[in-house]
Order: sequence, then structure tokens, then C-alpha cells
Amino acid sequence: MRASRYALGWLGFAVAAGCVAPVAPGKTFNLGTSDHYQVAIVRSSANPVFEIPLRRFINDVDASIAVYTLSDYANPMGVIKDIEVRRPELVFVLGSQALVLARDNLGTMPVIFAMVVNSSRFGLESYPNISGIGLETPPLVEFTQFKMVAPGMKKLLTFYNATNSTGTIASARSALAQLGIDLVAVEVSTAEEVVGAYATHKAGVDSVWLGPEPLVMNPTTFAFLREQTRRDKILLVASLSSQFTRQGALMSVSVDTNNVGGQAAVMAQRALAGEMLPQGFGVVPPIGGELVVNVAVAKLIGITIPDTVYPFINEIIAVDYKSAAGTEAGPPKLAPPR
Amino acid sequence: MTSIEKLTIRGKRGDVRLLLGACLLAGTVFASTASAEERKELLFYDPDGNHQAIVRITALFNSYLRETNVPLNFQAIVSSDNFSRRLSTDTSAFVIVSSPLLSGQGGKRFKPLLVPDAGGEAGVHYRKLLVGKAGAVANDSMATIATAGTKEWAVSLLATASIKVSGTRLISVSKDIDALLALSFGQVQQALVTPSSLEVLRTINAAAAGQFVVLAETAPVLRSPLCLVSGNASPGLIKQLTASLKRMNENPTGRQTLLMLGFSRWVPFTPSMKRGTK
Repeated sequence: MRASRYALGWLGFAVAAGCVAPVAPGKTFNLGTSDHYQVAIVRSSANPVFEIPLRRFINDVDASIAVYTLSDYANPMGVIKDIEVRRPELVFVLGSQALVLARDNLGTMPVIFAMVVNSSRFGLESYPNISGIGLETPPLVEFTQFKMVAPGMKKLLTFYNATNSTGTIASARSALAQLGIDLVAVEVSTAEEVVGAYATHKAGVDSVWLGPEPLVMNPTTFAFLREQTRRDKILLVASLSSQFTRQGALMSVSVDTNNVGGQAAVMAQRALAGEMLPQGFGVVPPIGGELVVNVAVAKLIGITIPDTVYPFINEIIAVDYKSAAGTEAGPPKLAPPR
Repeated sequence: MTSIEKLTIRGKRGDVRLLLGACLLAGTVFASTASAEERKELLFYDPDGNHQAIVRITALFNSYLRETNVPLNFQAIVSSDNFSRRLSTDTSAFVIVSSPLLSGQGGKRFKPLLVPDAGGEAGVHYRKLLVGKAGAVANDSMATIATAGTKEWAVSLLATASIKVSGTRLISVSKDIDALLALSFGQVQQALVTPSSLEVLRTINAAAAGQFVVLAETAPVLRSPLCLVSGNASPGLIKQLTASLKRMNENPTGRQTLLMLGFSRWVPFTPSMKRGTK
């Protein structure tokens, strides 16, 4: 979970740098062509990471929409009181704080959530009125896109801690088997062990995966793997954030926040139209994933990206991190969304 | 009760998209403002284009134009309203525009010059496939269809295959592969994608692609041609631009730009290319 929050901070940086006009905090909207339905959106804060899904949801849902930003309220119960007065047909929450507030105070009101790290920790199975979109991209979605860019990928090395990531490794192994890739998963108990483990296990592998493992996903280990894999002409691929690619990994797949907003909008539309009760959706994985590829790194390590793949890459980075001023110290550290 | 302030956003839904698009493109716009006053524009408006990479495409296209000394700014447009507004200025000398717009009211101003060619059988036309899993049927009013590009464009493409979307939910995703993966995971019931994306998935994950059946095929659509906007460019500029684009695949920046757009080269437009296109 720490790794996810760390990477979400990077994701926030990317959104901020992407100059998406923020929704003014504390304001409410009246958008959509229909006043037939009322929808309330509650977001934990004005963190830029929520902007794209928020905008996309507003654009796609045909309803009168009010937007609340919890960080603007000294007492979040003010939001609940207002929602109780308005009685919207549905509430869309963005972020963990907003989800917890909705879970604990909105009774049976239908709630759809998104942009919540590790939603399984909130015991949502006891709340049938709540459904949503998980933040974690399924391994098969990630690896399909990695293999699309690097079809020669055959043997992948990763490091994990049994306490944190046994389930993730099992899912990854199953996904990789479908794609004809062998997984060499090496258990480590400290981040420092990665140095020795890399040296021991690098023979014969063509790629290293920086997965969602809290122990490994830190600036020091990332910088070590980045430099070692470059030296050894091994592909470094990462989960959770495109910032890894900006900082010198070959490629990354992370949640596509634009897709998440659209996905939540379709769920909301179906619930509002009475086609499905919100609880019918459960917690679903996000659609697709944002594939970001650094072509400067590809050139450096000598891989050729198939021409047919370019139209399916979300973003191409053309400069190496060493060429970008001020980034040598490592990735930016931002407070993760709550 | 909290203080409630209503923001009046003109045009409601369309303008939210416009605002987002404008912001996404802001970096490119700022980068070219120094010469925007003097330079004419080459507008790019393709609802079925590679929108997720539009910022990169814009940067590459402008680099190529600079490298080949063509005095034009490439400007991507993401909404029809904005496209109409930009066209009304006399700085818009050329457009790369979705081919169905050529036959519309505003299309009379456009004179097609070149057409992108994807090579192979695909050539200068493209089709999209409506794909589902075994047992799925076209015209399923309960289906959710994932598609890259705008929903409006998807509706018009589906209409060419006699697919009605009444009751159907359309979800616009960033790229075709997302749509296919969503179908594979059961997150949507159908996907409207290019045959090439299905081929790419088949080469990586034959098992996933093997679950899919093609439910319908849209009519062939001419790829977005480069057109002259009548009266807005000199013969010299027309000659310079067309000569430059015909050689685009010979230059590394040009080739990269074409790859991002999914094309291999530009070829001269001939009226017969319009045949078979709806």
C-alpha cells in the first residue's frame, strides 16, 4: 500500500504537469443536459490526481451535478448534511477519505467510488450500496502492453516480499504464462538485498519488473535497477506510475484516469437508468492502462519497437532523464491523495 | 447548508470537453505562439485519430515542418465547435480532416490534396470491426461498447454497418487495445476497433484474441486527407507543403510522426478514392 501511495504522488505530479484546468475547490456545478437526475461528487481534496476522472465523469453523465471538496470543509459533516438535503440519486466519490465519509454516513444511498488505493482494506463487502473501480491495473493488462512493445520478452525478473506481495506474484505468474513469459520472482526481506539478488539472478533474464512491492518501490532501489539494467541491456518495466518512465525506465503501465472517469460514468448511467443496482457492479478493475514508453531508453539498450505498435502507446517520452535538468536526484516526492 | 455557487459553463457538456482539450494542447500552443501571429495553420481534426498521443504528434509534426522549412503551424483540434471557429479565421490554410466532413456543408471549402496511406491491403481506407465474445450479437441494446475516438464518431461508423445504438452504452477509451482488454475481462460486451489492433493482440496473446468474434464491419472510410482551405494559401505554399509531406517517410522525424498517426506515407488524392466511402 505504501508503494501505491508513493506512486500516486507521482501520478499527481504528472497530472499537475499536464495542465488540466482544475475544478475550483468548494464550488458546485450544474452541468449536463438533463436535470432529471441529481448526482453528487465528493472528492477528498483538490489534488490534481482527481481532476481527469472528475472532468470525464462530469462530461459523460447526463445529470445535474454538485461537486464537494472535503479539504475545503472544517467539518466534513457539512458535506453530508448538504447531500442529505439534496437527496441525489447517486454519489460518486474520489479518494479514500471521501469513500470512508460516504461509507459511514450515507446509509443506503448508492455510491460509486474511484481513485482509492487498495479499496479492499475498507470492508466494503458489508456495504451493498457501494461499488467502484479499483486502482490496481490487472497484471494481464500490464504485461500484454509490455509485450506489445517488446515482443522478445521471455524471462522477467522481479523482487518481492512474501508478507506484501505473494498474491500479486501469483497473479503475475499466471498472466505471464498466458503470454509465454517466465517469471523469476526473488524474495527479499529488505530493500538492500535487491543489490545482491540482482547480481545473482540477472543471468538469462531479458527484463526486470518493478512491481507494486512497497519494499522495492523506493527511489534508491529504482535508481539502482535503472543503472544496472542499462548497463546490462535489460529492459526495466514498471507498474503504478508513468513517472518511472520519465525517470529512466523503458516503459510503464499505470491506471488510465481518463478511462476511469468514463468507466464510472457508464456505471452511474446504468444505475440511474435502473438497468442495474449499484451493488451489482461490485469492485471492478480499471479499464485498460496508460502505456508510456521512453524511446530514448529503447535506443540506449538497443531494442526496436514494432512500427505497428506506435498508435497504441499513450505517451512517448523522447528524452532520457539525464537530459532533463533537475531530475538527477530522483523522482519528485508529493503528498499522496487521501 | 454550504454556500453553493453555480458555475455557468457555456454550452455545458461540449465545453467541458473543449476546456480539457484546450488545456491538453496548451503546451503546444504556447510553444508556437512566437510565430503564431505570422504563420498560417495546418489544422488537424480527426475524431478517430490517435488522441492519447496528440501532444506528442503535434510536437513531432511541427518539428518536421520546421526541419523542411514549411512556414506552417500544425494545430490539433479536439472538438467540432473549436474546429469551426478556427476555420473561420483566414490563418487556417490547410486541414487534415475526417473524410466524411468533405461531403458536409462546410466541406465545399476543402480541396483534397493528399491522403495518408497505411500500406498493405489497408491502403488509403480503413474499416472498424465490432467485436464481441462468442454468442454476442450485433444490435444488442443492453451491450456496452468500448471504443477509441469520440462517441459521436463511433455512432456514425456503426450506422454504416446498420448497427443502432439506441439503449447501448458507449464508453470512449484511450486506445483500441484498452477496448479489447476490457472486452477480454468482461468489463464491456463489445469493442469497436481497427483490424490492426486485433492483429497486434493476436500476436501477443492469441488466447485472448481467440475468444473474440467479429459481429459487424463498418463501411470503408477514406483516411483523413490533407485539404487546402480555399483561398487561404498561395500556390507556392501549397507546392511546398505537398512536396514536404510526400517525402515525410524519408525523414526520421517525419517517419516517427507518421508512425504515431498509424500511416506509412502520403499519396496524391484522386476522386476515385472517395468511392466506396460512406
